[in-house]
Amino acid sequence: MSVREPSRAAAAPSRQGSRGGVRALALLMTVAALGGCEQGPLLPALTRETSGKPAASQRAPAPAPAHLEKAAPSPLAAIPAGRYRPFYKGTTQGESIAVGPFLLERTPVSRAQFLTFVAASPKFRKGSIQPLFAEPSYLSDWRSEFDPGAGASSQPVTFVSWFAARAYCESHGRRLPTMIEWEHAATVEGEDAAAPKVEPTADGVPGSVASEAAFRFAMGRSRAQTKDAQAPVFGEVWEWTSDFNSIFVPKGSVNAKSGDSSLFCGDGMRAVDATDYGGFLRHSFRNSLKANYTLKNLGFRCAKDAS
Amino acid sequence: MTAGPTPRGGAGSRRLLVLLLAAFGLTGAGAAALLVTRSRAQPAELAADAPISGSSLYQLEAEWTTADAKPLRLRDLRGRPRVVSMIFTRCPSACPTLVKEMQALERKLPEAVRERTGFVLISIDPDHDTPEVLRAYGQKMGLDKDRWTLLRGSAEDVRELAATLGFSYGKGEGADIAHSKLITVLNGRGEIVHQQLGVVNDPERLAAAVDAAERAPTGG
Repeated sequence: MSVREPSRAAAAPSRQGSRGGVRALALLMTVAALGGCEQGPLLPALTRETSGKPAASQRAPAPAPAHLEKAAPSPLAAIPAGRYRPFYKGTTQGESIAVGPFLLERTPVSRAQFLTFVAASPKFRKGSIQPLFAEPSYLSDWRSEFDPGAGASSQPVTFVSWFAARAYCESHGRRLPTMIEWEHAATVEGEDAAAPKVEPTADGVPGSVASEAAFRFAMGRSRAQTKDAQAPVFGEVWEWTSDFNSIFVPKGSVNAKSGDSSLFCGDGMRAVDATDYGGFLRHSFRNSLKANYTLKNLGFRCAKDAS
Repeated sequence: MTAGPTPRGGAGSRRLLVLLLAAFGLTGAGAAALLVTRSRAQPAELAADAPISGSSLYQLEAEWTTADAKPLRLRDLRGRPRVVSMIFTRCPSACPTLVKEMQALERKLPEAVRERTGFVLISIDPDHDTPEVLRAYGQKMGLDKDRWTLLRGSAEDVRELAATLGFSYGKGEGADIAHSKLITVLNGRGEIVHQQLGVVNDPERLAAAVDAAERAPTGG
């Protein structure tokens, strides 16, 4: 299958696949409603791609305004060592795997904090960043290069690419968390009962459209949110991880041999917990990303090795 | 709840994949780049300091090591169409199949185009795939040293390149690595002009993409 012609397969659904198609469409529409698909039209993007403008380093960037206030990076919370139970039965047969202790920022990076970063890093400014490193919608909700709009100190920065997120963290001597670290910190095993449940249908696939609540839940939960005021806070945005393009393919899956269908979209039936719709959404979402994607509800926070 | 996916579920998941790729891809710059084949008259040879376009992969700064243990930056590959895949040498079946698909493409290309086209394999198993191992793999697979470049890099640089290409991988059973099967065609400027997901045994379509890349701008 060529990604160049995705519509060909989509336009010719098999009879058996039509229900899956409806579900897929429902998922997409929900993602779209949450801002996942708010991008410019295709044609201008093509024009931009072929324009071949020179890399940012070859143009002199404007100096940042002197009056900008510097926002310090978020405080780090200690995440204790623990065990992460993979979403897929795959590599560990549903057994949990060890996660070492690490530090994680308490909150997603805010627009104000990101402004401080771009002021010092011209190549990551809106208007300067190159297409390889971010889509045209990069920071598209900012009023200008140095104006992130109202509420900048309290709102998570979104419309940021993986490259920009990684560079922000590196500028503070930090790094993006790995997928396993993030899942360990942002999900609470045993609290599944609190999640908005989507009951599987006869063929094991969640059958109804994801609710806003399910999406919020999928954005993470603090394991100690109720008892520890210093614990990380989740649930506002999707978040980048350093290895968002990592995969854990189930052993012995029918699809595993044929390949790509097993890599991108999480079938509920291969999940450790088929009703973990939050996990399903996160895994599907991450595996549909590329490093230069910038989406309305996709932000990030940084991690650091425990010393 | 059945233990394995039914054929029906499998069809649904493939369609989900297609739709997700379509929805995210068509809105993204990455997919926009896939559809670009506009050609412009350009000199074939590149000045060493020719600017690299904003969508060029050759902006990535990572330093790689060739099978001859020589350092290489991706921008050193400028000036020719390149057919790129990420593989690992201990890969039991998927990667040899992928490499053979690239070799079928190599044979399919008209001689003049073949002479100007480079093939690049990047290891996703850098701990194991030393330059010596890569060199042995190239011999085993019968890769023409004049046209094929095998690269090893740091785990972080491999992750970055994969994230840029839209290539997913992760640890599997034992030494196995689960991964996408992705072939990417770059033009001489390092811009993605075509990507093929999966082994489709259709070298003609790839050959057409390489041919378009060959006629596309090579620098400047």
